[in-house]
Amino acid sequence: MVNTIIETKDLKKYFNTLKGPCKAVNKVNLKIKEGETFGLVGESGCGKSTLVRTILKLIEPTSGQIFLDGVDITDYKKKQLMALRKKMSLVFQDPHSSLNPRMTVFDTLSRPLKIHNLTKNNQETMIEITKLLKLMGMQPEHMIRFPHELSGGQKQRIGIARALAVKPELIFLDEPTSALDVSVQTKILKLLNKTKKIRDLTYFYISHDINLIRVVSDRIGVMYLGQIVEIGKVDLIYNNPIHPYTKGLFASVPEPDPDKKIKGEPLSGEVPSPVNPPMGCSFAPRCPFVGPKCREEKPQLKLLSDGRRVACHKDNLK
Amino acid sequence: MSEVNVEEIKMELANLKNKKSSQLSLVWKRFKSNRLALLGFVFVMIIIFIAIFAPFLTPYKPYATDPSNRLMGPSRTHLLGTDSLGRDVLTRLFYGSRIALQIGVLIILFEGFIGIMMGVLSGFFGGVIDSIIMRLVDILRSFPVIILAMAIAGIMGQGIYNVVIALGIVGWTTYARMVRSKILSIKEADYIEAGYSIGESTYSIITRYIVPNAIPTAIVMISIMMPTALIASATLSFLGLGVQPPTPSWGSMVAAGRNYLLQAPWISTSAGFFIMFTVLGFNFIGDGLRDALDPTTKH
Amino acid sequence: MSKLLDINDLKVYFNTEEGVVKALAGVNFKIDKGSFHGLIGETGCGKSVTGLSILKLLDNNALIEGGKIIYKDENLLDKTEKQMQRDFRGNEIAMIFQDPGSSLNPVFTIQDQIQESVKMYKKASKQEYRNIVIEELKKVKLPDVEGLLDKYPHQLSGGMKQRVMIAMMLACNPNLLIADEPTTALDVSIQAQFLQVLKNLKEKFDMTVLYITHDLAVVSEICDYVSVMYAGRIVENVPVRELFKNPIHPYSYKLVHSVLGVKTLLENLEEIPGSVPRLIDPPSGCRFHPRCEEATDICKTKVPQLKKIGKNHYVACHRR
Repeated sequence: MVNTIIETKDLKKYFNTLKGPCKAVNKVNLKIKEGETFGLVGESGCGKSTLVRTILKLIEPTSGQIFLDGVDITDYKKKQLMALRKKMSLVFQDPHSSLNPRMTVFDTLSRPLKIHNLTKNNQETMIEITKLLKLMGMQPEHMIRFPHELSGGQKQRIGIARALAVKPELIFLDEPTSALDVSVQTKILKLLNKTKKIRDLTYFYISHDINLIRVVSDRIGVMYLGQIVEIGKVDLIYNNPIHPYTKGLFASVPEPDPDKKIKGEPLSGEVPSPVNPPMGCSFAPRCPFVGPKCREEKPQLKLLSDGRRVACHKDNLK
Repeated sequence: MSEVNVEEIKMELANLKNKKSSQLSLVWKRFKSNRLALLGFVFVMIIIFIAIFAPFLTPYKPYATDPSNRLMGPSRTHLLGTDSLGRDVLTRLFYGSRIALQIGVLIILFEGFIGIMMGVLSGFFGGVIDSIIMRLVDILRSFPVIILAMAIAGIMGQGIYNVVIALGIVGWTTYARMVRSKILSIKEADYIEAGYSIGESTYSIITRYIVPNAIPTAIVMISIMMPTALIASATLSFLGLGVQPPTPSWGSMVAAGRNYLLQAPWISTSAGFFIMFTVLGFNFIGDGLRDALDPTTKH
Repeated sequence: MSKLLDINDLKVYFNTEEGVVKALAGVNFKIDKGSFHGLIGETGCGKSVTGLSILKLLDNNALIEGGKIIYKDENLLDKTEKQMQRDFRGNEIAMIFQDPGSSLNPVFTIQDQIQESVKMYKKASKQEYRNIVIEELKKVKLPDVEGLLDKYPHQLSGGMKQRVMIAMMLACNPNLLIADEPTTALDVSIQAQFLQVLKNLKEKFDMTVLYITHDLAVVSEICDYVSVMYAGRIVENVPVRELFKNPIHPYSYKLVHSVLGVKTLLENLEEIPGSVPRLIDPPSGCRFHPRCEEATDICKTKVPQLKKIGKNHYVACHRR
């Protein structure tokens, strides 16, 4: 039996706005198993970044619970949070803005080591940082560089090294390659894959890039307007998406093959505002199969025979 | 993983560090390439030189009156003539630069310290603290600056320190506002969230992440505020509320010369020129520093 | 097919405080009338500079060092700023940018902005203008066009703004549309809608488009012909099918095989060693040679020229 490392129960995060509460994360139930790579895919504004930051306790949840290794961490404060920071870390999307421009690579990487007393003196810090840099395919000479002296790919390697420094169990990767060129993207993805094996890690990717999520993940979740609409094994969902949103989303992705074109407009309309989400199913206004029930009642995730879960009122889900 | 040889790495890094040009030298390089900034730098250096070596640059004493030589025009013995008490104008201008710089620096330190601190508090913590500080700023700024300073100087009496306090009480608001907005934008940067995500304390976030990134803004602001401080103190002196005569201050010299503007125009004009020269110098430096420290503001 | 634009050995340098950046060092390609021409390359390869050069919208520190931009028999590089503004920008060649928000004027309504473009070539009554604007907006398949007219840019979403931008550009009836990363800021579903609009324009109005992007999948979706750019030079001019089936230049090959498709596996993805060179002191000879596995001595010394290797297929490589 594989352990569950993270679990959320009815997790909600609302932001107050002038027009009313913005329901960024609206009742999310999620389980991440130890050692797996989970990929959360969704378009901008669907709440995936907020969800991750809420789980990391960088922002306070509005309601619901978060469990780490079976322990409820929802109400953790200061000291307890410190212990948490050693178990989970975060890699940011934009390497250009996620490194402090006034800190050298050495300073950036030594901070987590010092905060958590992982090294006793400068000597040990230096050894640890050298090891981290080597793991990232970089040289000790990079220690004295400032972020602006590094290329985009190198900056992201430092961002990953910072997340690895505390020897976490779980790393959240928030679009780790979307700010990078394709040739660099491949290198970073392969590096992350290798690191996962060496360090025995669990990964939680979030991205809007559907193909990227597919190549890296074991299991994926599709998020729409603060809710997870479909979740399950990656091959299952890719080969046969069931939720109408998942279907439309996948069909919208251009394929690098001139003989395969997108047919028509897979998803019409636009994402509604999370401040005033639709009454029933949040996808109802754009759904080609919408029925009367969809507009009144929110569908819950249902377990299908193949092991995936889908939040849709349609009966003949296959 | 192979053993890491720390000593070797340290040596290597030390070597590299020597070769690498520091950020400071880069800023200086950019600053140098700006002609106006360099000109401003030369202007200010001249004034500082005059202030330091005033006694050696002139044979006269600033307070030495000579009633037989009142209101003499410029001549070989008195390059810029004499004033109504027969004092050498150039000498008084030279000594006046001491007063001007002294007041300028004191004002900058006083208002800069208060302003930057208030700005950091207001920007970082937001909420009630922000509201209180910002409303205070609004109130102070709703008075015409010079009238408020006059009132304060009038209550507290004349003298260098009172001028500094009078101007500083209003002046810090500009710093507070600028620093606050800078902090607000820094706060949004990903590296702040990254700091929290590795477990940094609030104190560390302020001192290691926010303040170092706000320093360039503060430096630029100080160099831009310097001329404002100089003009404001000169204005107070001109109005008779600043430095007390017979202390040689440029502002009071302009005022004193005003009565003899037709007979002895050199008194007011030369004092005015010194004010302009210094203010221009600091202005050029301020603009140059802004471009040099933050190259992104350039097109 | 007749050619509309012919860029010949275009060289553009930039003066910066660190030195001269040789952003474009010999760009060559032709755009046929009615074709969708993709210009693809990674960040900093000079693809946007190429687009801006055509309209002569480069910054003040740019120097056009040489070459020709022949648009319908006229060399645009010989034109004065006045001539460009009067005869070419907008009415002949129009451009849309990545960030639609910053290209629309926030204080005018959608109707006002598009009307402005229409006024450039046509005098009409208020009602006529309104009808023309509605027609233009319908061309880009915007929903509820009537309701849109009196809205301001901030009331629209990114995808809608981008479509309004196109409508505005189309209103001047340009012969060539330059689109610089128009969908990079959009979500996939909105991007799909936008690409649909472009495809539609191609079919119905025979538009010619220069599509600048880093996204190969988008290129495969809408382009007929592609120019692959690396570090300021074109390395391959190729029909789109050929590019994906048979990329010849080592860089194009790597690029095509580093794109994620629906069936790719991480292990099969190609990576390019090293990183993009700084154009302040670019590599000698072929600029790709330091990262190329097949490079020989000649690649280090001699700049490869584009040579024909198939129908409409040109490659700049010594090893092919």
